[in-house]
Amino acid sequence: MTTLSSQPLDLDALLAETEDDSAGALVVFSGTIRNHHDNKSVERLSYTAYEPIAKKAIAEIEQEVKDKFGVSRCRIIHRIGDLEIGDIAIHCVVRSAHRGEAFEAAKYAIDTTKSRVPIWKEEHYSDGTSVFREGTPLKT
Amino acid sequence: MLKIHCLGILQSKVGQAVCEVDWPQNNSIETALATLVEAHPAVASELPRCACAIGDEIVPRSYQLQAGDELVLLPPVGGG
Repeated sequence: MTTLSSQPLDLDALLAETEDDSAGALVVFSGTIRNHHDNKSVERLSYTAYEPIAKKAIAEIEQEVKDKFGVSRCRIIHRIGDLEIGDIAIHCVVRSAHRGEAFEAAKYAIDTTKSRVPIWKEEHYSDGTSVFREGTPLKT
Repeated sequence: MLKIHCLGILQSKVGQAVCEVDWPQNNSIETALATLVEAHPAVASELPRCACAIGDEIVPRSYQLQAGDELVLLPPVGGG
């Protein structure tokens, strides 16, 4: 299973991988690169990761989501490298029998990925400056 | 020598992805970090919020470094 990719993310492949005839609900969250932050014009983002722990952490979150919410499928894939405006940075796919737990699980999946996976994003602005976005300290 | 991998904002502050410092007395991570700050004062304000890792494990700062270890510094994270 791919959890980090330097190539454009393939949602169709993720949907095929998670097919489940017992699931009546499918929730997909996709994070895209927007062109602004804090009133500054954003030109692109650079994502970097510490892959040995990032891959492990995403796999743990996927299992945790399934256990916690009772959903049948949870897959998360995150892009790394230089992304342009409109590019997709992350997909979270959740399938479950019913919609309630699927919505909750997808929110938990993206929120937890943002706070527990060693991935960093540097915003590059139109004025030529760049800033690493403030993040969440990892628990030790 | 101990290799210290500086990721995210740390890499931009240090100007390189990997630093080498003298192997710390008592195999202490805290001592290694103090040596890093001497060489790169700009990282001082970032280190309190960084996690430490060896390989694919996050370790506490009380971890005793062992021969062959490379220290990885993980600043606050924020993907998505």
